[in-house]
Amino acid sequence: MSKSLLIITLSICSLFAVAQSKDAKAEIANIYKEYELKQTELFSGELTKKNLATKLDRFVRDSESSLERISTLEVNEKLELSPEGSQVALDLELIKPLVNFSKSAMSKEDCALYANDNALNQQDGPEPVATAVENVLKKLCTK
Amino acid sequence: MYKHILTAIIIFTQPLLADDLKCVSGQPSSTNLVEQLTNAKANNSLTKLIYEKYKLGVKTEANAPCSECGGSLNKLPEGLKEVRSTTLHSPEPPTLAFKQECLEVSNTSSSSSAPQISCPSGNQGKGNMCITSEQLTYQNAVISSFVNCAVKEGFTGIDLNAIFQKLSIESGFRPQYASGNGAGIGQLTSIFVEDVHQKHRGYKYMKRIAESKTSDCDAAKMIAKPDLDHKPRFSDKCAFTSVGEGFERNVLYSLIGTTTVWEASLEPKLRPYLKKHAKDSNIEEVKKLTVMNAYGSAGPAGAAAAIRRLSAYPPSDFARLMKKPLMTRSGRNLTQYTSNIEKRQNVIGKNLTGDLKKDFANSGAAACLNPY
Repeated sequence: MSKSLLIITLSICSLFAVAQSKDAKAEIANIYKEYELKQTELFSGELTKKNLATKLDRFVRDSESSLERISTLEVNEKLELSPEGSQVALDLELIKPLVNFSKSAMSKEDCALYANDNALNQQDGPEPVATAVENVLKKLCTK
Repeated sequence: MYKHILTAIIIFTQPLLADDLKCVSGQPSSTNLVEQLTNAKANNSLTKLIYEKYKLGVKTEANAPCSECGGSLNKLPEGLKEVRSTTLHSPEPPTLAFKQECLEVSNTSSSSSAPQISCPSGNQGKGNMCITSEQLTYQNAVISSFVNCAVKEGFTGIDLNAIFQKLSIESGFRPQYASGNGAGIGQLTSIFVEDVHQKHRGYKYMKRIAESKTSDCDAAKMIAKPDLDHKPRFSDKCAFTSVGEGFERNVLYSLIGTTTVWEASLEPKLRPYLKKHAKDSNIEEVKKLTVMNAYGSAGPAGAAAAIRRLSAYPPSDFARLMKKPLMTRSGRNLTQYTSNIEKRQNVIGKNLTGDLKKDFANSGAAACLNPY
């Protein structure tokens, strides 16, 4: 009798755990969707030398908060490191040359300097954010 | 007239030389690398300096390989070391960084489909080029000399264990391979070379070596000084592969690139973590893996992203997870380099022999380092 009770309790617990991890994964997917929308918004909008720093600052802050929420879910629910979290982490690094450029004097020399930093991130093929950074740099540096 | 006689001698002795040639890897008939080393020994001041400094090719009874010492001169009994020193009437040569058997095993366990470059012509070489034991010893001496210089000049992020693993995976210590993407022993890319010459990145380290006052940098200086004014063209593959200048440049640039990435991109990000776990026994492993990871397909950004992802874990888990794939949504593996390196090291470990094999099984590539 007690054995059956134990089995039932364990089954319920494991079902609950599976359901919870599914919820956490869905939550991570949602956070990532939100993040992707903000990224599209940033790069499809009008970026100028004047508004670049402000727009990037907001985007980086939002992205860091997204990554933190994903990491917390992964740790709390003992999930494997998700591709979504790793993508946000990588994108935050890939956008750095543009962030550094926005904080510089945006001179010709800065253009070359940060274009080189961006190229270093694409040695083994293009990555969407690095390509977007390259396009923005080209646009702002030819003006 | 003399020229004709000399040519005839060379033509007649070539097959004899090829027959006598003992290759660690490659075919005795493919002698371009052997010829490069022979020429460099006779004509190149950097190669001559390395031979002199490390007493390469000097054969005395006292420095003959010790059969009971696991191939390491450092393990010679103290008395015998003294005899050797007295016999040579000069101080002992500096220690070579890697054990010869490890270099030979790494060399034979490696295969590449990339074209082999004949130098000085720069044409694609024929056959599989012969690499002799002497060639590997010379390479070992160059790496040892340049690492010594870099450390004396205060470069950080330089780790011999990581260098052994990196060069094993990149080329298996074969300097002659070059494709459109990578060249030579470190498989340097054009972007990497460009980075070494950037004023805000590698240039300052190159300058530091070029202006170094320490005699440990005498050899490295011979590359750094002229390169400050004249950046070699990446399309000239021999500039990064040939013995005497190219292979040596490849080693120097690899070290400068490693320091640049470590100091500019990775150390500032990892600093709080290193501080927090300073007393943890796994922290050096974390550091080493992080440096190596920057060579992966995701570059320094990927290595920095991996730090972001793994900093939430204690060092033992950080190191463990660094050896597993860490995929992004776009299909990039943030730990591509460190997860592949493990496989390569397992192959090397299997092919070693005797005590070295046991040491390698216990402590990995650290077993391949001479006490340095």
